[in-house]
Amino acid sequence: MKFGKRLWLLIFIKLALLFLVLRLVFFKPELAEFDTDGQKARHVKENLFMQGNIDDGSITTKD
Amino acid sequence: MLLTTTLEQASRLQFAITAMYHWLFVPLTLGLGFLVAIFETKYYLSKDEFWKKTTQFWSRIFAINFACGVATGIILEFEFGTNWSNYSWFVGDIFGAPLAIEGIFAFFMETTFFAVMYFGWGKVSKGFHLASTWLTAAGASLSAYWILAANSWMQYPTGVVFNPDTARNEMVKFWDIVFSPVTLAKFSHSVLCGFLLAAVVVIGICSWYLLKKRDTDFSLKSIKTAAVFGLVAGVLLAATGDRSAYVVAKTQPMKLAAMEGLYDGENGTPLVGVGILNPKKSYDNDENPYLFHISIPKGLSLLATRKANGFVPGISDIIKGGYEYEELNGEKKTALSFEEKVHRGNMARKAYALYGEYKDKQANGLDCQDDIDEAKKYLDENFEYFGYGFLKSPEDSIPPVGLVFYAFRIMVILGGYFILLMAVVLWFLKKNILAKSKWLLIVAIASIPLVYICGEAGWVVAEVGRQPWTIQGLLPITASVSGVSASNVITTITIFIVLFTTLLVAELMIAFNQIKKGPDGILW
Repeated sequence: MKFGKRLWLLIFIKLALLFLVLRLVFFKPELAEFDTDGQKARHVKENLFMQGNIDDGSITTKD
Repeated sequence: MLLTTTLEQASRLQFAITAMYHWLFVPLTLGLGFLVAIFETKYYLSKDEFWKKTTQFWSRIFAINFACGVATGIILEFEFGTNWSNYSWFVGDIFGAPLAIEGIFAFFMETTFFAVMYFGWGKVSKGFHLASTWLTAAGASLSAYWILAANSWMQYPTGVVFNPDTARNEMVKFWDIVFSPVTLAKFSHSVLCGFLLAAVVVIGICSWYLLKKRDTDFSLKSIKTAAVFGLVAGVLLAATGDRSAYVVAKTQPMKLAAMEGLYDGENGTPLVGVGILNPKKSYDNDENPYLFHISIPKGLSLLATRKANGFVPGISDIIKGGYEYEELNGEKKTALSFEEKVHRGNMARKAYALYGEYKDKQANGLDCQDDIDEAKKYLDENFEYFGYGFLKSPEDSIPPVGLVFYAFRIMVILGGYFILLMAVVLWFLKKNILAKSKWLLIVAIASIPLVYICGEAGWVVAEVGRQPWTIQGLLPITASVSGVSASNVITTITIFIVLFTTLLVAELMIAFNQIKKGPDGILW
């Protein structure tokens, strides 16, 4: 079944490229370098707070 | 860590290219699966070998498309972890749960029954084979449902609470997420888009056979089924499009304003049918927003409010605030201005920062529970505007109006054209003149790329229209990106384009080869 074999070959080439090349070499999860969820949470919080000037906000004034 | 605009733009470009590539394959899988199931049902009921041959031919086209499209969406998940780590963490299990359900349940259901559908001829009973074909089609749609539920949550975040200790949103009302009005509208519209696309593809391929004066009986019968299927899907698509626009008006008014190029709202707002935007127009000047337009009086008010004289806010109104509006649950509110939203967002962010500081002090033995509770209270009260704390100016809250406006018109005009095409094809079939109408056959073939453009334009409206948000109101793009280098992202974009263009060419060659062989050339 030549046609079926071609499709399987195509699928395997694609999956190999995805998981063995792109995933392992290029798409490393940034948070994987941290061991615990606490470290990951702290890293994300730091990223969230480093942007903009949050001193513009005031918690003493309510709308 | 430097979060630059270049990194943001590169990450967005990569995600857009990947998603658009993925959407080249998904809609045909969604629609052709059901068409194959209909063809096989005809075979099951009639026992006519003609319908078996027809089913097997379209199954083969389905298989090629499935093989080409499978796993292309996985790259999007890679990108979440690498390029969008802040977002991925912040969104918590809200995004992960639907994707996991999609992967574990729907995708496996789809692939398991697909194996029976493709390899099971003569090996399982006819009834079981037919059931497998229907379950393959249903599995594809179910798979799409979970993905769209996750996407819809980003457009209309509901059913969650934010946990400041983990910096993650946590699901508290699963069914609110699964059955949110945005999910239902988006799912019905997207799946019907797939049905219409499959109908156009089947009609286009068969028109090519008719032009070549070959496989005439096969082509005419396939076209008849596809055109009825496509016409019903097209009409329902228009209805769900209306519903989608209504939901967008309630949940993402800025997106609707961009879709219409509407800057200053009014009671009885017209709907722009066709138009050219004035590039000099901005939210803070008095230029005419259109260089040319043909509008339907009161159309937008009817679409967005279901009242002919309902008020639809424009971009400038949304920035100024102060107008009355009604939420999806019917609750009436007064819109905040951009500055007020930014203020509330900054309050939320500062409360969150203080919450963290007090928590650290508590961990060091200080008694500051009251301060923690107070900071948490302010955070909760203002959290729905958390993302506005990252925006600097009103322009930051406006999506690219031109792209959204024109993409919306391309989608709607082409959608209307396809409904007309289905009706005309059915009329010519009824009059028994389709095979001789060369011009209509050529139009049908030329419609294949157009239907893909239509589908992609729809996603441009949905995704570009919600800018600058990854999660509406809670997290803008700028705060969502990881700290990877822009050059790294550009490298992966280049690799992705080269690899997948090569694969796409190979895949298209296989598809064209099978189409050239035709239904009689298939040895099963």
